[in-house]
Amino acid sequence: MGSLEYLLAALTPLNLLLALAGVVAGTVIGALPGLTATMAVAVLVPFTFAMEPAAALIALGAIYTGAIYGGAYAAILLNTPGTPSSIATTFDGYPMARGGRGDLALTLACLSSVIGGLVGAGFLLLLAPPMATVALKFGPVEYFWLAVFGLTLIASLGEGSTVKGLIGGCVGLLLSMVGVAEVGGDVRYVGEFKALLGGVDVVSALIGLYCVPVLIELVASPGQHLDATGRVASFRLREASTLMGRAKFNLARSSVIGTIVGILPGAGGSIASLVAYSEAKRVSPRRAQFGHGEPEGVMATESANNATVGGGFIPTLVLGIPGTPPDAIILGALLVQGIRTGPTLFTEQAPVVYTFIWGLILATVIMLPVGLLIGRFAFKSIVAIPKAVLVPAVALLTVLGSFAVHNNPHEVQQMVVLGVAAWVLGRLGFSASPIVLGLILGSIAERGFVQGHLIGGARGSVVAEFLGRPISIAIIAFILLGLLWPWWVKRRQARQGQQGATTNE
Amino acid sequence: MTRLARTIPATLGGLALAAAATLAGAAGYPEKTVNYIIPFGPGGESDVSARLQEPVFKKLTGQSLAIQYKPGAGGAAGWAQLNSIAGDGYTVMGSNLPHIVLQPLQKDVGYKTDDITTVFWFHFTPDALLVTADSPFKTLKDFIEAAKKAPGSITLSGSGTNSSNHLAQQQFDKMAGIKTTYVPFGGTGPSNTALLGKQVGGSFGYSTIQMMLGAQVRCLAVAMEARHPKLPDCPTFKEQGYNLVGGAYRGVAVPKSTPPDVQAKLADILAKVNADPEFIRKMEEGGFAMINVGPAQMPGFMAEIKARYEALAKEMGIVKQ
Amino acid sequence: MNEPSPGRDTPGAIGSALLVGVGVAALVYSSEFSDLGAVFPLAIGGLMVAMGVLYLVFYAMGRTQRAAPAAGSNLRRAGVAVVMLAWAFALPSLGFLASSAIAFVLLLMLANHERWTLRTVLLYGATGVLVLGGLYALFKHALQVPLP
Repeated sequence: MGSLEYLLAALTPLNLLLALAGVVAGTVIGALPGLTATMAVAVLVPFTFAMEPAAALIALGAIYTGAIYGGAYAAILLNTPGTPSSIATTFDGYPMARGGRGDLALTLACLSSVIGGLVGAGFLLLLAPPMATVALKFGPVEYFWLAVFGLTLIASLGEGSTVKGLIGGCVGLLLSMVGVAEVGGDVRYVGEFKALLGGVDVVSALIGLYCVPVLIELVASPGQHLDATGRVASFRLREASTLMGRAKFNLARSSVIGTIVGILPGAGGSIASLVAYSEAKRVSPRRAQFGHGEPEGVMATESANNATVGGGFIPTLVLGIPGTPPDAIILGALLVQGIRTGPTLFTEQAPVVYTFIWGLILATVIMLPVGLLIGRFAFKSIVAIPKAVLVPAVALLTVLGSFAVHNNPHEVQQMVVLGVAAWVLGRLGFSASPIVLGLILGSIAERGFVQGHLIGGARGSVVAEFLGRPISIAIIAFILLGLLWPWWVKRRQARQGQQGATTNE
Repeated sequence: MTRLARTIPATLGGLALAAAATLAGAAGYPEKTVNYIIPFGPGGESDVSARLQEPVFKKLTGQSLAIQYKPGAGGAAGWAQLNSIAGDGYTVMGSNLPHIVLQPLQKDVGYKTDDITTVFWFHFTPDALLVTADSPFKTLKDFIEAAKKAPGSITLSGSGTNSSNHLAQQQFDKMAGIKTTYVPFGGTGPSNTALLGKQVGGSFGYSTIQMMLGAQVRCLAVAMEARHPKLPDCPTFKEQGYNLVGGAYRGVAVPKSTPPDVQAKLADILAKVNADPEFIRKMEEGGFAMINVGPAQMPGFMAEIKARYEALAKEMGIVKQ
Repeated sequence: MNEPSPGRDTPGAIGSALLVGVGVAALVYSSEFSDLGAVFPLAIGGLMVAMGVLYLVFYAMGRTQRAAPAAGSNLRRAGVAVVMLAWAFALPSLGFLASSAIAFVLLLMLANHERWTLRTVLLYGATGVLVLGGLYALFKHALQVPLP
C-alpha cells in the first residue's frame, strides 16, 4: 500500500538519529528510579517545536518507548520500578536477579519490550480508527469494574497471606482518598497538612514504597547486593530465545492486552502489565513459580507495557484524547505544532502520521541492540558497585526523582514517610505491591463508581447501569473467573488425587 | 548660587538616579529562563495556551518559558504554594477564574483569593453546551423541551465540581427552568471522552472543545456576547434568550513578594505577546477568546468578577458555612 | 523472600491490630463528608476493619505463619530510616546541596561494612562528590529543575 512510501520517508538520517537518540535517552531516564516516562517526554517537548511534525513525533515516541523499557532495569536490579509501568516486572525480575539470573532477566525484558512495542505499533498502523471506537465504549462503569478486577488481582498475587494482601490493598485505597475528592469536592483526610490537598502523589509513593525498604535492607548486612557468581555476564541470547519461543502465546496475549489497555484513556502501563501478568500466571502450568523468579512473568509484563505505547497513540491521534499520561503531553506538543488530531488526521495529514508510525516501529527495532547493550552495561555496573556507594547514590536518585515530579519538597517527604512506613509494614508481613495497587486503582474505582452512580440515577436505575452493560458484564465474568479459577483447579487436583489413590490400590 | 538653587539639581539628580535604578532593576528582566508553573495536568486549556505563548515570549525577550505542571485539587495545590516561591519574577504561575474566587469560598484550600497576584489575564474560554453530532437535540430548544419532559434524566459531563462548567450548568438549569444531572469528570479530556462515547447526553464544556473535536460535536449554545469569529454556526445563549455569558479566564500570576517594577515589566511583555498577530490567530483557531486585562484594569476587573461570582456562589449555595 | 518459621505470626497480628485502628479512624472521620464523598471511605474503612479482625481471628485460632526474623543489623537499618527522614524534612531549610551532602556521607558510613582505609575513604569520597555533583548539574541545569 501507499504506506510503504512513508516507511522510506521515515528512514531519513535525521529521523533515524532522532529515533536512536530518543531510545537511548528514554532508556536511561526510565531506568533511574524516580524519573518516569512522562517526565522524559515532558523534558523533550520544548526541543521539538523547532522540528518538523513527523520528526518531532518520532523523537517523542522513541523517548517514550525507551523510557517504558528502561523502567525494567531498576525493577529487576533494585526491586524498584523505574516507572509505574514496571511495577509488575519486580515480581519476578528481582527474584531472578537475586538468583543469579539478572542478565537473563534483562535480556528477556529487552526482547519482550521490542515485541510488545511492535505489536502495539502494528495495531496503530493498521487498525487505529476502528480500535479507537473501543476506547469510547468504556464508560465510568466499565472503568469501575476494571479497577475492581485489578484489585482482585491483589488476592491472586498470593505472596503470603491473602488476608494481609487485602488489608494492604485497603491501605492503598485509603491513601488514594487523601486530598480533594474529584467528585463532590470534599476535602478528605487532610487535617492540618495543606501539602496533602493534592493527594498522595503516585510516583513519590511508588518510589518510597518500593525503594526505601530496599535501601534499608541493603545496609543491614555485608556482602554484595547481587552476586555475579564469577561468571562473565553475557547476553544469554540463546537461552533467552528458547524461553521466548516457548512463551509465544504468553507474549502474543500480553501484547494484545497491553495494546487494548493502552487504548483506554486513563489506564496505562501499570494496569496493562498487571493484567497481563495475572493472566499469564493463571494459565501457566508453572503458576507456583510466579513471584519467585519465573521468566514468563517478566516476559508478560514487559511486552504488555511496551504495547501500551502504540496502543496509547490510537485514541490520542484518532480522537484527540490521550491514552496514557505521556500522550497528554505529546498531544499538547502537537496542538502547538498546529496538528489537529481527529479522524481526519489519518486522511488529511497522512504523511505526518504514517511517517511517524513507521518511525516508531524503527525506534522499537533499534531498541533491540541498543537495549541489550545498555542493559549489559547497567548490569555490570550495578553488580560491581560496592554497596557502600550504591546505597547513597540510589537514595540520592529517589530524593531527586520524587522532587522532580512537581518540584515539590513535600513530595520528597511523602516519599520517605511512606517508605519508612512500608518497611515497617513489610517487617510485619504486609508487602508493598497491594498498597501501591490500591493507591493507583483507588481513584479510578471511586471515580467510576460515583460517576456511574450519577448517570445510573439519571437514567432510572443504578443497578441496571452497573450490571447491565455488555462490556461490564464481560469484565465481571473475568473477575469471577479470576477469583474462582484457583479454587476450582485445587478442587480438580484434589479429586484427581483421590482417583489416583483409588486406582493405585 | 543660593543654597536652594544648589539643592534643586541635586534633588533632580537624585530622583533621576532613583528612577534609573528602579528601571535598571526591571530593565534586565528577564535575563534567564522563566519557570511557568501550570497548576493543572498537561493537555488542558491552561497548558495549550501557555505553550502557544512560549515561542512568542522567546521571540520578544530571548529567554525561554519553562513549562512545568503541578496539578492537584483543581489547581489549589499550586496556588496554595504560590506565595512561598521566591518573588524574583523568574517563577510565574497560571491563574484561573472562577477557580481562584470560588475555591476559597467553598472550603479552606490553603489560600485566599487576594493571595493570588495576577499580572495579566490574556484569554477566556466561554462555556458552551455541546452534544454529539448525531444527537437528537438539534437546537437548544429541543434540548430544553426534552429536559422539561423528563427532569433529571439528561446527563451533562463537565470538568470538575463547582467549576466554571458546573456553574454554567446550574445557572442554565435555573434560567431555563429545567433539571439536568451534572456528572463531574477530572478534566476536559475525560469529559470529552464521556461525551463522544455517549456515556452522557451532552456536555457543558468550552468553545475550545468544539474546535478540538470538530465535526464530531454540535454546539447548541455558547456563553458569549456575540458569536465567536471562528465558530459562526454556534449561536450564543444571549441571542436565544438566556443571558448566560461567562467561562474560564486564564492569566499569569506571580508571588506576592515580586517587586512592582518586575510585575509591570512582565505584564508589559505578556501584553505584547497578546498583541502578536500570529499568536492571536492560533489562539482563535483553537477556540480561545482574547482579552487584555493588565495592571491598569486589574483592580476594577477583579472587583467586578469577585462580586459576580460571589453572588452566584451564594445563589447556588456553595459557600462554606 | 522470608521463609516461614514455626510459631504464630505475632508481628502480623500487631500490624493487623494497628491497621484496624487506622480503619476505625478513617470511618470516624468520614462522618464529615458529603454523601457521595463518603461512600468509598466507608466501604474501604469497613473492609479494612473486617479484614483486620479476620486476621486477628486467624491468629487466635493458630492458623497463621510467622516469617523468619530478618538477620543483620537493626541499628543500621534504623539509621537509614532516620537519615532519610531528616534529609527529606531538611530540604527546604538547608537546601539541596547541603542536606544531600550530609546525608550522602552518613549513608555511606551506614552502608559500609568493610574497614575504612585511606584508600576507601578517598575513593568513596571522590565517587560521592562526582555522583552528587553530576546529578545536581544534570537536574538543575540540563533538566531545569529548580532544586531548593
